[in-house]
Amino acid sequence: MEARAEVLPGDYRIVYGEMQKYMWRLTGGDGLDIVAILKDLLGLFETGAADGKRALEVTGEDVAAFCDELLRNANTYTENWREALNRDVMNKLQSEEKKK
Amino acid sequence: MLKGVLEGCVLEIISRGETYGYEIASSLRTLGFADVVEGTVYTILLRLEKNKLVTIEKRPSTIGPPRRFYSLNEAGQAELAAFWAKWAFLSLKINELKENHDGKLPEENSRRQEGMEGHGGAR
Repeated sequence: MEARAEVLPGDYRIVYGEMQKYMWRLTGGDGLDIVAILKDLLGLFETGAADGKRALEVTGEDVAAFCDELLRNANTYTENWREALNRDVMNKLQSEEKKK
Repeated sequence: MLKGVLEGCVLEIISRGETYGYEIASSLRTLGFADVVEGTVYTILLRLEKNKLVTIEKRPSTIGPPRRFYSLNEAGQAELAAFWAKWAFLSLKINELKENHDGKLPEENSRRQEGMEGHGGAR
């Protein structure tokens, strides 16, 4: 995978590197789904580069928003927190009900 | 919210015939969604794929890696119909809200109209 990233044009390498850093920081679990996302992302970037487009024409100026959209398909810390929050609320409300 | 709207638009575009990411992004820009880039469409297509709404065929291209071509499957057709139903509801409600922007909610208006019956109508 890193070999594929190495041969991308310079601007793609920069964007890919920064996106990688951002996404790894948010990873939850074993991170395998981030690997899958990065692999697909390389495919998108290779296609864009082959079409002669600049990296930001593919991702848009808001690279962070693009990352967040990609992360919706992955196991992340924040997603785990959200699930835990909803689960805890449910559990606590239920045990409160039982006490009555 | 725009994300959900765009997802519906992408479903509609795919329903008109097999297409691929770049073509979908171009169609959306022609429609007037000026800042839609391929990345936006890419994340929507990933979701459609994950929810098993599209059929994907990989075809080799002259340059770069193989391109993915999308068409709607049966579940995708159903999702598209559901999107247009939701959209009809949403636009109806929002227009209702806009037309009543003198601050009266629709119920209050109809209540007022009832009271004014026989006096020449409320509209």
